[in-house]
Amino acid sequence: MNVANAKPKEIIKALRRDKDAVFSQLVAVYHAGMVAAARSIVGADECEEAVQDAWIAAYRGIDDFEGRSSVRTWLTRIVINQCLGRLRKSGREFNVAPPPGEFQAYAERFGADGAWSDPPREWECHSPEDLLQEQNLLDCLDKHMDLLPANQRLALEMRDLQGLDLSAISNILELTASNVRVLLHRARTRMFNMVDHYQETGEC
Amino acid sequence: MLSCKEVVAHSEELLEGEASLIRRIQIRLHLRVCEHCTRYIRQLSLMLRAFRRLHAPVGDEKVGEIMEAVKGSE
Repeated sequence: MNVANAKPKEIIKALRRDKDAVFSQLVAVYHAGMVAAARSIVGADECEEAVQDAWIAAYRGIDDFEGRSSVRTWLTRIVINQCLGRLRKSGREFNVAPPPGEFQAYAERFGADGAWSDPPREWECHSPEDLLQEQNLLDCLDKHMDLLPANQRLALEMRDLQGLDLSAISNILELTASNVRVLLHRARTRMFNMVDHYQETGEC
Repeated sequence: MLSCKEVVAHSEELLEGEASLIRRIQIRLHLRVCEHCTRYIRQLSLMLRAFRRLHAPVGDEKVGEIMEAVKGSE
């Protein structure tokens, strides 16, 4: 069974049949994303440990999973709660809401008439596979994702890298859907500018 | 007609499938005559589809390590 595509109820059934084997598959498929999400909240030094604790909590709480959300949503919620708990215990804070204020995407790239003055380049890659082939570009994506404010990075991770839907994200992060959209818009703008710059100059 | 700036501001609604019918029509009308915005939306969509493929499954060694921790905590 392919846990990445299986329906939640099918996964529950499979877990009842062969808990450890199916759970191992969940770890294989979801671990990298869980670590990336945790990293946005607790940082690089602690994220592996936080995710390990989350897997332990998930394994123990597996009977609580009723299949009403996707497995990914369920796991992400556990990871994020685990990370926020760590912050609380050590008196740290995580401000997930976007700071107030107007954000104008690509402000410097539009003229006064609202038309592009500095339009996007025609990229050399024509498919997602093309885009992911170049190691330098991948490194550059990593670098710029790391430079995003933590709340933007977390939203981008949950929506665009993991494909959670907006309502699940706003639920887990206790943010309004419009605030999630604001975070995504800012993060995507920055990442688009980065790829566009890379396509033009070959430099990060 | 929408300006390029407005199209960009609403392009994610379009890609997320959240744009209203009127908004979709407004954007389509603009895209018919604007190659820059057409390119922007095409490439933004391409970038987002690429992002979905960034995480590869982890290897057996990592899985073994996690399973050991999970079982050890029982």
